[in-house]
Amino acid sequence: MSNGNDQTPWRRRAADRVAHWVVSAGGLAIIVSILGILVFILIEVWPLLIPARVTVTRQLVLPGPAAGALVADEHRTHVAALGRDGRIRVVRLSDGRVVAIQDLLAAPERSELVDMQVPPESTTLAASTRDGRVVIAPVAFTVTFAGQSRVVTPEIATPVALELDLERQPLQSFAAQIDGDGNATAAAALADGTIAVVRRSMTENEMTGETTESTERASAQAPYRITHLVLDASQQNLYGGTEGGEILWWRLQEGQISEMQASSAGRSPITALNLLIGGRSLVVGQQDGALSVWMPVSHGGEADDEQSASARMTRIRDFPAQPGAVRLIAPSPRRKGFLALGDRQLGLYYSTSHRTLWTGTPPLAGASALVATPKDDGALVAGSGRLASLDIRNPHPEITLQTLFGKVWYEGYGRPDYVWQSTGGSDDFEPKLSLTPLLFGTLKGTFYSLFLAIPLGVFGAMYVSQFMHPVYKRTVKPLVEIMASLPSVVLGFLAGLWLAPRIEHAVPGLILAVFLLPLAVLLAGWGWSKLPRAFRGRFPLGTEALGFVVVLALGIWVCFALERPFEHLAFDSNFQHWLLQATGLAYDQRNAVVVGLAMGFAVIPIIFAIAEDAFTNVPSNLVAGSLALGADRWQTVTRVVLPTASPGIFSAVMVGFGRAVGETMIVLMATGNTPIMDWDPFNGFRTLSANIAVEIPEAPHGETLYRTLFLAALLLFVLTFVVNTVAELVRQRLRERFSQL
Amino acid sequence: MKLTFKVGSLALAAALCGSTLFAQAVKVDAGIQPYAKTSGVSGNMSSVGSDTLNNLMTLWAEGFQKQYPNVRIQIEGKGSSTAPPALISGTSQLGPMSRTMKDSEIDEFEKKYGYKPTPVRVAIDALAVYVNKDNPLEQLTLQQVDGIFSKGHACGGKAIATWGQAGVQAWGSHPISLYGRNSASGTYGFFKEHALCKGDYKDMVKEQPGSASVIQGVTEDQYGIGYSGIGYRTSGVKPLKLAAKAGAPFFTVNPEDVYAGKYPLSRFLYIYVNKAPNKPLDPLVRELIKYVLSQEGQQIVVKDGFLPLRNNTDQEELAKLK
Repeated sequence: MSNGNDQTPWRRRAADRVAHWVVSAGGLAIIVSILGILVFILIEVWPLLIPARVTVTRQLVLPGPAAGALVADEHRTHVAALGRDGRIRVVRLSDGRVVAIQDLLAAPERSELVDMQVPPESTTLAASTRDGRVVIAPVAFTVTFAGQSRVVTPEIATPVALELDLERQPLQSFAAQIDGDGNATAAAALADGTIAVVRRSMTENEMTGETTESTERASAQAPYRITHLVLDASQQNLYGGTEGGEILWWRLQEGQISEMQASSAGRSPITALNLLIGGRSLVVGQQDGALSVWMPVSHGGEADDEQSASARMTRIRDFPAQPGAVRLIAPSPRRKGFLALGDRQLGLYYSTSHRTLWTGTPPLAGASALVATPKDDGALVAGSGRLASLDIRNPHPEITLQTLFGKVWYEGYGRPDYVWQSTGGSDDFEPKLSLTPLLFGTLKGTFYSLFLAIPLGVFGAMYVSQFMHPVYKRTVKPLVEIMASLPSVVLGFLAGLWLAPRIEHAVPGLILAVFLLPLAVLLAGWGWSKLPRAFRGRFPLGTEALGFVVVLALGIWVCFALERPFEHLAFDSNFQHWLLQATGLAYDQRNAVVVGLAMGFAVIPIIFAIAEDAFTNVPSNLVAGSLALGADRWQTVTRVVLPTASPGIFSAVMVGFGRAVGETMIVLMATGNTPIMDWDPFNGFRTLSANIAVEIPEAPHGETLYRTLFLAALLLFVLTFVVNTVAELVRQRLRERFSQL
Repeated sequence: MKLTFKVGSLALAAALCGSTLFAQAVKVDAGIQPYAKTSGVSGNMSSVGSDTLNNLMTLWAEGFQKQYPNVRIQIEGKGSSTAPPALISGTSQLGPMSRTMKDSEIDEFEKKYGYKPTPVRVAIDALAVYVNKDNPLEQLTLQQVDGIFSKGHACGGKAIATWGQAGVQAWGSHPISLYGRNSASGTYGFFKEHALCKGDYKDMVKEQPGSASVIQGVTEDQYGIGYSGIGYRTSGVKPLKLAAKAGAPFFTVNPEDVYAGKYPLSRFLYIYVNKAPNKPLDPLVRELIKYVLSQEGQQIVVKDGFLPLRNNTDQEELAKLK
């Protein structure tokens, strides 16, 4: 012993130092790894902020008269330019050599061109002629490989000529489309103030394999001076712009032209008109530089039915006006962006996020044609005998604070809204990346699970630590802690596939239980206290809990026995029917109550364990003192133990909150992951964490969705960080206040 | 005792019929050649992609491994959208997809390899709209389907929220419970494009991680409706007859109508491979695709409840491997 005494200080100091270093290193490692995670998330998120860049890479000489329509190949090696003389010149972009020249119309048919365009969502050259025809020629660039190097061959299909004006007058403005099967439609404003539409349909005989051609024509009065026409890729909607600043809209169905619908875009003449990819948004440029996006919107109440007769062209958003008239608009072939070229400005815009991504001076004066390259990585401008090739770097135009957290008016919607719907099956899908419904879902799930878990966890801990007989306590405590070790995927599976269908038929019973069970317990307690003391004395303190188990079981049985009569009385004998009638809420099988139960089950043991420790750690001298001064057990617990343990209980609740916010598998499996914003307990929600888990495998690396999911992760990180910090601060303060006790 | 036995065997028979819907009616085209085994095929291969094709891929891999015991194939099926990233990064050699690649996905591939990925059509699927087996509903038009599943009703129908509006008078105002696929799924994209006219899904559609869980959801939810490939049909659900539009004839999912293109939601299933131009395909991948396109491989398609390719399509696809 004396020997030990000599050595202890040295040994103790050494051990102390080692422990100090190990603990410090461990703590530092945790801080470093958390910071590392934060830095990693930030690195993935920050490219969202990179601005777009447009640079002129090359200027070439373009022979022949001014080109009115351009089609480029997807590798940006060649461009086909249609000139006013009716010739298509294919130019190699690397050296400016003309590699092919072809007449749009062969010799006897030839005619000078009036107007030229590339129809939306196509690689087609189209033109109107001086003798009243519209000519459409699809252009394809086929890629073959010689060894490993790529050889691009331009192929111009046999043009389709449709006779629009039977009087053979020059056509001023026109629109055209052709599909892969050769079905073509052309529309033009004629000199006599009508709109003519000609459709060529190809029908294939299934037996012989022969195709037959048929042509229909229709016309309608259009008492406007039409400057521009554009036809969507489905060949069903024709839009026009006029000199008086009106936007016109016709539907073409089964050879008929619907009644015209006109909306005013102000007095300034419309000088440019085009459709964004998908054909649902119309971009309008005007003489005074105004640039706006229009969509068909139904104003008839609930139904957002754009096809219904009540749909009207509506001005959705305005971009900052250009300093001069807008002359050309080129939509992106990949997403909802577009380029607008005016007399004095070239701008890059994005419709959904309402962003002006870049503006600059036009690369050449007197531009006559503008096209975005097929992969949306560049653009070509032709004018005054020259051709400019632009590089566009525009990684994430979809993201602004408004698109992430605010309401956005999407295509096909009746009003601006918060929507999460990130992917579609095709490129013309407009991604809807609002994080608001996901944040809402996270809070909703947390609310419903804590609604169950806090009372049960905290009061359970209070009872177990303060009242329960130590014999039972020794089994109850580990049992509850075992609950925490249940994998959440198992809980989620049980909740989604076993619990949800059962709850669907037991909602009235559950509602009954919420009111009846506490009442039954109170009644039983009151009855117990009225029993003779001698009888009660036979049971050791704390064993009466077993009696309550019987009471609870009985209560539950009664609730479900009374369920049908109760449902009959209160809910017209069908709860879900009643819910829909009375509140307009549809009952969903995978709903917040189910998740609340399952997630509550996962959170209870966490809250219980920490709260129980907090209760147990209240100094026994305080309890003893209180009891000695004549307070009974209940008074001691509520007035002495509870306030003293409150910092611990608070952190128990906060840790439970953190767990519920971050919980993934239970919500993923037990809800339908429906991104709705509604506090209704009988429908589902989609949380940030479940959303990340669902969508990260499909998100292309480095794309906007991928980075947005990381942004959601950052949001979760910040959320839990803030909650935990606030919780810690509050806990410290409470602890100081009660440390004097 | 006897009675219960009978009921049991009936249910069993129904289940068997359900899982092999086309087994009696469909014969694989006799022109499709049986698989000819070659030598020297061994190694590891992995497949990442469509959930619809997951069972098929597993069956094909099993059959292939019987031919070549030294081959190991790993199969993962979370959704078609997971195929392109895996194919691009080289973590998989086979990319099963239930839709064609989007242009943006092809761009990514081309950016890395300089050429486009090669799609091989391997089977025909009919996307069915399922309701619970106790649902009296028999048929819907695609406009009604759009009204049930979509927000904007881009196909021109009306909003349908209750079974009464969908034509089940007995269930009057009971709300329709919607089941769908997660957005990674090709089925999700295909359904959006062809049944919803590219409109958006309602927020109320419960997104399920796989075709089987859509079926499971509808089986457990009497008021449920969902969509999945025909290969996942079970006895707990009922596929509806569909019509392309109001007034058009209704078609069940039967082989003649699917082959004739009359059933409105039929589609090809694909396996995408990384084939450099003018270079032979990796022998392991080539042999697997050959096996898939052989008589044996197409019989597996029938066994799994999908439709086999016809001979001319099969030949076209085989030609792509050269």
